[in-house]
Amino acid sequence: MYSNNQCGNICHRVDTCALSGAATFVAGIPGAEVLVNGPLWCYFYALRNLEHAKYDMGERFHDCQPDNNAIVYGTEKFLTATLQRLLDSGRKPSLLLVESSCSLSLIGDDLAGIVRKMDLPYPFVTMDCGGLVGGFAEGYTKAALAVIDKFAKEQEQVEPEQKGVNLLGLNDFYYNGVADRKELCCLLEKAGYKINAVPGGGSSLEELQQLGKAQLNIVCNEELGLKIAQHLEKRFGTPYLVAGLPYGLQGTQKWLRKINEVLPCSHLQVVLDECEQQAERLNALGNDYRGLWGSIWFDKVVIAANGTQALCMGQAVRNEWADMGELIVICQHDVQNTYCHMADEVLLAGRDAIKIEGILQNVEDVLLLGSSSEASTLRRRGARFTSCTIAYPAAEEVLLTETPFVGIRGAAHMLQKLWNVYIRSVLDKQVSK
Amino acid sequence: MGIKTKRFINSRKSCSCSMPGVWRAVAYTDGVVVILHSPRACAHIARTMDINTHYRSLGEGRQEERASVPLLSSQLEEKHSIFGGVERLKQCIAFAVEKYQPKCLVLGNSCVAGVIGDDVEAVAKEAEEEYNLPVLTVDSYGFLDGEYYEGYFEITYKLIERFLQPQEHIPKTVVLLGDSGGPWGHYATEATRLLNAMGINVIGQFPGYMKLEDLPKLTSAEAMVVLGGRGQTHADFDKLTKILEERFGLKSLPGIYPVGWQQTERWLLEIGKLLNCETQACEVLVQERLALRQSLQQFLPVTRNKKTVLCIGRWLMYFHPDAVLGTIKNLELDLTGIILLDAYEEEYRQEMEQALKLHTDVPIYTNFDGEALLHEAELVLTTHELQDKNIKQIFLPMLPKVGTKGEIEFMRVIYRTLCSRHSGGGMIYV
Repeated sequence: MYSNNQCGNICHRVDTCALSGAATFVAGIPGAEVLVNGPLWCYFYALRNLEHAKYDMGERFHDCQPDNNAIVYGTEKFLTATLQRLLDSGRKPSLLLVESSCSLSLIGDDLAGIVRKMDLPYPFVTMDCGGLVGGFAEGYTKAALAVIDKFAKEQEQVEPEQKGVNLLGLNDFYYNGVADRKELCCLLEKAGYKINAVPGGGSSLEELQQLGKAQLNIVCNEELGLKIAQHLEKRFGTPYLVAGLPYGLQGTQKWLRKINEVLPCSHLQVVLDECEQQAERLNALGNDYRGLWGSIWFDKVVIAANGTQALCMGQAVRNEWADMGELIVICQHDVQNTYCHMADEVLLAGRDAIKIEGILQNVEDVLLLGSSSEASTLRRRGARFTSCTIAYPAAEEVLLTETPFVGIRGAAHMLQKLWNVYIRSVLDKQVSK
Repeated sequence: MGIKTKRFINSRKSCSCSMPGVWRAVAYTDGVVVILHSPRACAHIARTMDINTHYRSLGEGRQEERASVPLLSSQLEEKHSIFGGVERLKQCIAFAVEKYQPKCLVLGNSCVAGVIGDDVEAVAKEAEEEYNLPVLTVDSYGFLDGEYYEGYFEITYKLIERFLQPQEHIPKTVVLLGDSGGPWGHYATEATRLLNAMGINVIGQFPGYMKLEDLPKLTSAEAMVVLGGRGQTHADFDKLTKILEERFGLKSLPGIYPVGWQQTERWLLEIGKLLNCETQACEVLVQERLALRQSLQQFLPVTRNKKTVLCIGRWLMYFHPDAVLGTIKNLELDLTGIILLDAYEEEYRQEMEQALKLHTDVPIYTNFDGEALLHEAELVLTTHELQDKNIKQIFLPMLPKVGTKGEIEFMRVIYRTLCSRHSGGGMIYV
């Protein structure tokens, strides 16, 4: 039964469709390219999403530009012409994903057959992957499973890697995704693990073929990685751990201990010590600012982001970084809330649409950790708020450096952001008096 | 090798979708709720456009005067491609009526709804009777039967049909027609400034930016001013103005838009004639010429004789080169060549070449034989982003800025680009 609660004003939410989710997974493979079998309009919106994180995506993301008659006569001539143009241009992608948009996936074209006929000199994978499949997460997962199914070697064909781990559910196209991915890899390597692969986050097709080598699959963004982990467990028998994202220093220690419990590592203490040293440093530096400005305080904090990120950050923001009267966490995806017990309220976009709409229409004097979607809603109605951008769309802040939000470096980065936004809010209040 | 552009587009149709057009036609019409009968993500595309508009306004130093109306999606899923999505749409309508109590519902249709064959027209009729409120929908399904403007104009005609009545005209008043970023966007603010300077009042902007209850006021205007250009929508606006002229007696200026300085001069004089304020129009023209000349005095020492190349990859229906050629002439830039990029089919290339030859005798090159020219140029004005990162490019937008302020702003961007001492290239947006 269709719940009316799922039907709220879409103006309080932004998600992209499966088309761009699938493209994101494949674009995370070095040298891989994507061909969209769908209207230019859908293509451009997926492209804009990809270009936020990788400026050269226009060269790796193509569209066969079908016209409306393709619904009746099929898309073969458009697909064939575009594939021929790509061949003529001399491009040699490491992998080509050919994906159909929602309406073109309904007309019954044999996508795989059309592509096979072109006798491409490089590997390819085809799928229907438009908005009917779902949102970004559904597309990402679908593409991941298709690539793994087609290319990953059977376990008996690969040598197991001692302390080898795969990181699942990461991608470079989440806000600050590249920096976070690098920090996670760095933490794990310092602790003594060997990163076997990060599917959709920089691993090559050859590395993905060796996915079965890992001893443990670590699910970071649950909305993207859980189904992949379950699939890998079924296929290779590799156990998985839903670890979430390590925000804050205590959060990072907890995250590493959790992984260590399942797959012990050689240098856990080294990283835990580094966390302690960083905590001491941040506390000492923070004392200076506390002396001047008082402790960071917000009457209300609203976090709105991708499911795992929102919950994990919710835990760190209240447990480690700031004091507040109330914490509301808005998740864009439905994930198990094993991460955050600090929130006064956890809401799910879609299911709790009306409540979320009410919050964004009425909230005042709030710190928003979210995207420019929520910020623009507050700004339009003239609400009093301060904000830090932690998710796309991101129009209000410029992000050029690769400083993570997660891990040891991320803890300092986030605390710095919160201090700056707090000091600015105090100053702004003085000006408005 | 040839010049490479960042985007390769060879499609002549199906470049956009009718649903965002439906949405924009009523996006700020208080009293309306919009439902897109589509997968959820289609509505997010409309939402993304909405967010971009918001920040573009802020970037131009303008604050939107009100928020957009609720936008809902029926959130079609895979199972609806088998069983149909009509029931889902009905539930969504019931929810919208209960939650928002709208005075009018507008339904946009996706390509998915078109392929699965949902009879949205019948659902709209049924809902209209059940809830006793106007429910408007369109014959366009996503990109299947039309593009952005099919959705936009179809809803516009239906609003006219439902909500407008003939009435007495108030002299020296106009209604602005079209979107172009709304009343707080550059086009409407510049047109309003020039009109006010001639003693003409603007009573609203239609469609999209008048409250539903204010729509009947629209026909009290003496005339209408189209916020358009000589691009794709020209014919649609012609049709719209004819309807308003024939049915409600509003005067209009067919096909004259203040894009580029020459057209702005013409626009001012024609508005003066249309609304019997020729003297004021001439006075305003003198003031505007003065403002333009003062700006040119600042810009010319830098812009004069600078080697410039114009790259064009848009079809004539989307881009007429006369305005930019006028700016090049005013700034006394040395136009060394015009390059027609490889996005053209032969027929469209010839059309553009002919249009160019009417205005200039500067040599025209292809993207293969014009490449060397680019590297000698101090400035490239282009309709398509070029991949070569060493080239200093200014992007010519689909919707150029208008009026005197728009022309000065464009010239200022050229001036500042030529003042720049950065060694690398890059793209600059107007």
